[in-house]
Order: sequence, then structure tokens, then C-alpha cells
Amino acid sequence: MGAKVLTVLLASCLSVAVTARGQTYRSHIAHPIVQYKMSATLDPLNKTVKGHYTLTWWNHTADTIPDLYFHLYLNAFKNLDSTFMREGTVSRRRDLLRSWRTMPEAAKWGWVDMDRIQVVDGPDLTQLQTFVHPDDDNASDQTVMRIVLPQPIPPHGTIRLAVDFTSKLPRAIARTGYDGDYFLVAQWFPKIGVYEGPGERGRKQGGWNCHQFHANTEFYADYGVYDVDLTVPADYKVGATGLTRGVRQNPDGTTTYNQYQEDVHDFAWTASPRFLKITRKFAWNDEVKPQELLHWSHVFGLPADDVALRDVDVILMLQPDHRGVEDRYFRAVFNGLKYFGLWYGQYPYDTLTVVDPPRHSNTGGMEYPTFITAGSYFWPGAHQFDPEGVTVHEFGHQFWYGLVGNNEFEEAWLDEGFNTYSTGKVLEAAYGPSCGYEEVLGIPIPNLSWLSVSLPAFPFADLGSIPIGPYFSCVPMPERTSGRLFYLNHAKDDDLVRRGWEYVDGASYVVNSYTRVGLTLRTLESYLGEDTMARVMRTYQQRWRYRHPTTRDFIDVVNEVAGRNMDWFFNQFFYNSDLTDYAVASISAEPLGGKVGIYDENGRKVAHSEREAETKSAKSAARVYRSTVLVKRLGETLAPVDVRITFDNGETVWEQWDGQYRWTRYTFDKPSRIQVAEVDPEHKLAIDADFNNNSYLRDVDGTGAAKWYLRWIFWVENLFFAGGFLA
Amino acid sequence: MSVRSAIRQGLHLAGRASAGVWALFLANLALAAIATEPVYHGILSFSGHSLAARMLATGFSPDWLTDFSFNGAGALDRYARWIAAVGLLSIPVDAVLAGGVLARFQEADRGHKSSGYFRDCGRYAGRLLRLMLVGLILYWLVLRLLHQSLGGIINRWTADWLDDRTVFAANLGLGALVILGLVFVNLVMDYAQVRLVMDDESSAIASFLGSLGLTLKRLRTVFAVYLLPSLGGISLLLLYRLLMPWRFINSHTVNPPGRGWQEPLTLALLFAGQQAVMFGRFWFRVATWASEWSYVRAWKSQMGR
Ligand SMILES: [Zn+2]
Repeated sequence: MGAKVLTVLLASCLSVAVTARGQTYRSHIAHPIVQYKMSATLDPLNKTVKGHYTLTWWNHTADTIPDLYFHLYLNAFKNLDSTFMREGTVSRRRDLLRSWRTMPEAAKWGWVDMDRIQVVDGPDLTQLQTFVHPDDDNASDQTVMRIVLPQPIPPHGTIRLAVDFTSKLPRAIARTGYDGDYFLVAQWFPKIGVYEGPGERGRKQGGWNCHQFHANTEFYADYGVYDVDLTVPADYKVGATGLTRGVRQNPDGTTTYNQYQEDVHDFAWTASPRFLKITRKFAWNDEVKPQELLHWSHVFGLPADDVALRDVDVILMLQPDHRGVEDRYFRAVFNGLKYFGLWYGQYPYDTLTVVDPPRHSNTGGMEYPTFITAGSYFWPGAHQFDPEGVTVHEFGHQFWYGLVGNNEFEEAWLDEGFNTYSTGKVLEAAYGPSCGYEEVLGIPIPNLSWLSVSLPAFPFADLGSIPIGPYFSCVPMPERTSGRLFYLNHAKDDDLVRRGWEYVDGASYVVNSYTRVGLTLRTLESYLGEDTMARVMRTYQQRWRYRHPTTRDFIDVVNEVAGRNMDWFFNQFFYNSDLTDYAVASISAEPLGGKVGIYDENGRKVAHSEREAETKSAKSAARVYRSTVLVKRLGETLAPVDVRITFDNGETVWEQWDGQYRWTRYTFDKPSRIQVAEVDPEHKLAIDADFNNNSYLRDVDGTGAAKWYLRWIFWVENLFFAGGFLA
Repeated sequence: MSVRSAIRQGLHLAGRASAGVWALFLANLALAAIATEPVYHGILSFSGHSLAARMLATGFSPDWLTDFSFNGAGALDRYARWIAAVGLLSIPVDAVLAGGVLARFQEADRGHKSSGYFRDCGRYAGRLLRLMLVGLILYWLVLRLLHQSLGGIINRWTADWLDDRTVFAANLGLGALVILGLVFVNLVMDYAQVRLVMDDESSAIASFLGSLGLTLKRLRTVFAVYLLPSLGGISLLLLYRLLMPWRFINSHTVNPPGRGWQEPLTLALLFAGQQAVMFGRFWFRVATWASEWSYVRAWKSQMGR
């Protein structure tokens, strides 16, 4: 009894403490389209959430709207006939499901029912629900629901809906669900679609944009207010979108958390009794040096106040066995808050919650407004960006997806690709390049996950692979060209700009939404210059905050800020699947020794031998060589490139080639022979399929090959030695 | 006989088998050079005319590997297969060469002149190869049963565990078990080779069973005699790791103007350093056999066999 009183007392103190922090966020949206006032109760035993909300939805267009569309995302996990599951037949997720053969079906699957929907003070619409499938002809898919209204919503009118729903959470296979007593509750409530008026995102006619849940797509929703009461057993720790405005202990042994956030387009939360919940303040004045602020205000031509950041409460929901990674998580988030904030504008919200999910929960690496899931291991390598990479990336989504709300179904690259580019820049700025080795107990071991050659399964009994990475040294892994091999292996699968579910497969979706965009934006940066690129990104971010831009909107910002038309660039690199490859095909240097052959001299035919010419040339002080360079375009994309030619005496010559025709040739008559020619010597084309052929040396240099031969011999001798031991 | 005196006698004995050390060392060097020749050739023809050649002389770049893998599709797999094939060949070669080494110990024991290293190799080759097959089957069993089957069971068993550390511990335990299994087979096979030559007329199976019996009876001593000289070889790798001046090597594999000898000389020194380590490893390999030989001989005379 005493303990109970104490708990209540503590809880009320906690409640006061939390509310004391209070909201400092000021909304940027005069008239939010959605306002959810919601309450939800977790039943951890039955893995369900019972919920109720009142949704105030504003028709921001001049259209009269006859119907409503809702996403019922959880129905993707209802059975194998959902579009999500059908599209993912060859995916890892399907394999996961197979591996859970012994699990009861009820435990595995998830679904959501809208038990009641009623216009407040109006008709009950529950019986009017119908499932529709706007993207495919899968009549079994139940992820989009439509209601034809008895009375349409007038232009600029508002409708208020009262909704009861039940969400059965799946054993998490993708982003949402449970694993034991851990719950990651996302895409969990019936969520209204986006009504787009004529002219919005290039639409001719107004209409609902409400896609089915696909294996490869993410989400799209309107901005608004979420005011959510979450009720969980008292021993559960909760992390959620927004600010905790209050905590209330209930007599039935549960606790209710009130979460509140304006100007966001989704709401997700997590609960588990095992979390360590740790809060640290990002104090921006401690993180950003005055000269950094000055530098960026100079680059952007803005007063320092406009580049300033704000303090943020960072809440980490940590697995107890990951204590050792706590600092690394916070450093990663702080670096994200700092650099994203300096470059693209301050992170405006009061809180950011980071979830460190348990192993195999399949909920890591995902983004929701003011709430991200990352992922780590109790013993991550010191030189790998783990958990930094995923943490910075998911944090970056607060800017690309969160603040700038592109349609992830239709143009995933606008968030994933931008974020790949930005994450790489932040990691570079904050950590420098990662290394190609792991430190284990103080001994550096080459990282086995890269640079390895698979061994044939027989007779090695699946021993995996031999590492061929460079032994015992830090090899910088440049972010700039990160993932280039993965991109090249899928380069011809799809055009970059395509709707998410229309890529040939998951790998192509990933390449064209992430990797290729990262490489392409780095290439764009090379052509525009770093400062111009920074201004482009900031302008685009600031202009499109709390709105829904398209690819064209981004290109317009590029053209405007760069002050020149860069459409050629996007036509080459975005709207096709061509490879880029410029190469120096050959070079040569011949002495110009004078006459060789038969010449008419004084009315006579005079023969001059090559030897004669050579002797003469060798004696001459003003010896001249004719050097030639043949540069070729081996790829299909067209881009202007630089050519640098270096001569034996150290002289360098720069040429510019428009890169349009298949080849070009340069000829130089100079006292020194050409030593090397390089096309695109600075690797501006980060996306080039072969940097190796960008240069051509006159004389073969075998040292590199010889050195690696010696190293290989030594490794293989040791390998055979071990094998010989077996005999 | 104590471990210490077995090893002391072994080191002494090993000194008589330098021809065997050279044979093992040179055969493996030749096989390794053949196995990795395509790598050399591949790098040279891909990058010989590229500035990448200069980068490879002093370091390494993941971008280069991307270029190489993408534009020379399948090359890495071909190299791996070729290395694996030559590696498979090296196992019987080493088995046959072992015969010559062990015969040299026999010669020391009996005080008569043997008929030459390679003739001795030939004399025991058939039985040593049969013994090798027994060994390979046992290794395969260890890998199949422990690594694959037990590994699969552990994976399924730990699939739902929420705590990384316990899963890590389970896998670590499995790893240790696999290594122990391999070491045990290796131990038995090593002594079996010794017995096969020592007993002269004994068959592969009989030597194996004899070795197994001895190992089970005297596990601790047998293991110590096997382990200590082997550790000598492993410590050479550690020395290589600690002492190889990579920074110096990497900065001297370029030729500054007028010093064309710098780069070949640096490579020659690198090669010499590496091969010294390898020679040392083979010497310790032979010393391991010799120590085992001394121990088995003493044990047999003690048993009156
Ligand atoms: Zn992402």
C-alpha cells in the first residue's frame, strides 16, 4: 500500500516536472489540414491497441469533395494476399514469415479495423466503408478504405469525425509490430489520405492521393496537430512523437502519457518495460562554434540570427545491453542536429526521440516525425559508423520527409536520396571517413563485411569468405562515392524518377531512391560548387517546409539559385538509366625530328632515313615531341568534362571538352613528352562507372601490381600453411 | 618423458631436417605464387597504364576495387576459385613432403643414412595420402556437425532472444567448440603422421588409431608437446604484424627522380621479410613434428613397444 502511495506521489512529481519543461514550439501552419485528438490503450498480452479519435479535417481546396480515403496500413500484415505481401514474395520479409512457421497465426499477423466512424453530431458512416485498390487490381488488398459521404464536403469546409478502431499488431517484420514485450507502434491508426487540389504537385484535377501499402514504398500525409493519450501498463516506458505534456497514473495499474505535437504528418510510439529512457539536452551554443555560425551565415548571405539553432531535448530509448553505445547515439544525434540545422535551417521541434530496438525486431532504421528508430549492437566496431550512420540518416529524415513532406510513394528519392547525400556530408564533417577495419581487443582486424571473396560452399562447408581487404591499416571509405558498386550493378534496372512500386525489384528501388541519388547529388555539387549547392539545398528546404514538393520543384530551385539552367543535368542523370564513363583511350609521344622519306629538293628526289632524323633530333637543343591524347565517351550520359595533360617536365595543360561526341583528340608539339593524361581528373562525375580508365600513363607502371602480388603471395602462403597443417 | 625434454630434443632433431624445411617452404611459395599469379596479371593489365597503378603502389582505394569488380566482372570469383583449387592441391603436396621430413628423424634414431629426401617422400607417400583422406573426412565432419548443424540449431534457438550479449556468448561458445574440434583432429592427425613413419610398416588406419589411443591416454602432455612449438610459428605472425614497417614501405614504393632503384629494392626487402617469416613458420612446423617424434619414441620405449 505504502509503495503504491509513493508511486502515485512520484508520478505526480514526474508529471509536474515534465509539464514544467513545457512547449516552446510555435506552429508555422496557420490552418492545419488534420487535427487528431486521440486516446489509445495498449494491451500487451493480446498485442492490440484500442483507440478512439476525433479528427478535424479541413478541405483546403476549392473542390467539393464527395468522399473520404483512409490508409489502413496494418492490413498489409493481415495475410499473404495483401499487395505488400504479394509484391514481397521474394523478399527477406517473406523468408522471415516462413521461419516463424511454428508461431501461432494469430501471433504473427496484424490488422486494423475501423469499428465505428461517425460524423460528429451527424450520420454514422461505419457501414459505408469499402476497400479500394487504386494502384493495382488486387481485390484482396485492404490497405485503402473509401467512404462515399452522404453529404459532400464543401469548398474550404471542415468535417469532424469520431472514430473507434482496433489495431492488432503483427510480430514485426517491417517497421511496425511487437517482439516479446517490445512494441513499436507505427502506421497503426486509420489515417486519412491527402486530398490534392488542382495545380498541387502538378495535378490537373483535384483528387485523393491515397496509395496502397506496397512492399517498397513509404508514406505520405498532411501536416497537422496530434494530441494523443497513450495508456500502457505502469512498468512500461514510453517514447513517442512530440512532447510529453503530462503523465497520469490510473487506478487500474496503467499509466497515461499525453503526447502533443503540431506541424507534423504522422505519429508513432514505442513501449517496453526493458528500455532505459535517457534524456540529454542538445545545447546548441555548446555545440556550434561562433566561427561556424559566421561561416554559414556568410555562405547563405543571412544574418547570424537566421542561421542560429535552438536547444532540443533528445530522448534515447535504449536496450539495457547497449549501455556502451549510449554516448555514440547522443553524439550522432547532436551532430545531426548541428549540421542539418546549420545547413538547412534549425530543427524546430522541442524533442527528438531515438529508439534503439532489440535485435531481430525488424523495426530499426525508420523515421517518424520527432521520433526515429536506429539500431546497434552491444559491441559495435570502433571504426565503423554503427550506430552513427543509421542514427544520422534517420535523424536527417526530420528534414527530408518530416519538414519537407514529399510524397514517398511516388518520389521516394526526394527524401531517401537527399538524405543519403546529406547523411554522407554530416558523417564526413563530424567524423571524417570511416575505416576499412575493425578494432577488436586492440588488434585491428580487416572488416570482414567488405572486400571479401566468397569461398565456394563445397568443400569448405560454408565457411563464408576470405577477407582480401588491406591488412592492418585504415583505408578511408569515402562517403562521396559510397555504394557506387551497388549502384553500378543495378544501374540499368530503372530510371531514377519512378513511382516506388514500379521499380523492377527491391534492389532497384534502393539504388534509385538512395545510392544513385547520393552519387548524382555529389556530381551536381561538383558542377555547381559546394557553396552554391549548400544554398540550393537550404533554399529548397526553407521554401518547401510543411509542404509537398515534387522533383520539378527541386529542379526549379536549382536553376534559380545556380543562376543557370541545369535541366540538361537532370535529363542526363535522373530521367534515364544510362551509364556515365569517360576515359582516356590512349596517349602517344613521337619526336618531331624533321624529314623521313622522299622529298623534292632542288629538283631532285632526296631520301631521308629515320635514323638520320633521330640523330639530328637528338643533337638538337630545340627538340620537339608531338604528343596526342585520345579521350572517349564510353557511357551514354553526356556531360562537359575537364582534361588535364601532364608532360615529363612537369608542365600541365587543362582542356575542356563538351563531352558530346564519342571521342575527341588533342595534339601538342612541345619540348617535353606527354607523361599522363586525365579526363575528369577531380572525379566531378562521382557516378562514373570507371575511374581507373580516367587516366593514361605513357609507360606501364607495374609497381602497384607487384606489391599487391607480394602481399597476396604472403597471405596465400599462410592460408596454404594452415591447410597443410590439416594434411 | 617431460614436455620440456621432448621439445628440447625436438628442436635439436629439427636442425637435422633443414632439407625438409626448405622443401616445404619452397613448394608452398611456388604454389602460392601460382595461385595468385592471376591477381598480379589482372591488376597489371587493368591498371598498368592508369594512375591507379601509382595509388596501388602506396596504398589502396575502395573506389579502385569498385572499378575492378564492376569492369572486370567475375574476376574476383575466378581468383577465389583458382586459389581454392591450388590450395586443395597443396594439401596432398604437403602430406607427401611430410614423409621426407619424418624419415630424417628416423635416420637420426637408427643412425643409418637414409636414401635421400625425395626418395623418402616417395616411400611414405601412399600411406600418408590415405591418412590425409582420413583427416579430411574428420575435418569435414567437425565442420559439418559443429559449425553447420550446431550453428544452425543455435541460430534458431537464439532467434527470439532480445539480448545481444547472450547470443554473442552462445556463438562465441560455438566458435570455441569448432576450434577445439579442429585442433583435436589436427592433434591426432599430427601424431598419426609421426607414427606412420616411425612404425615404418604400419598402415594409415593403424597409425591413426594408435595416435588416437595415445592422445586420449595422455591428452595433456601430447597437447602441450604439439602446442608449444606451434605457438612459436604463430608468434612469428605477431612479430610480422608488429615489426613490418608499412609506413616506410608504402612511402618508398615510388621512385623519386634519379633513384630508380628505390622501388625495386623496397619490394625486394618486403619480399625477403615476408619469406623469412614463412621460412620460420615452416621451421616451427617441422619442430612440432620433431617434438612429437621425440615424445612418441620415448613413450614407446617406456612401454617397451
Ligand atoms: Zn531513409
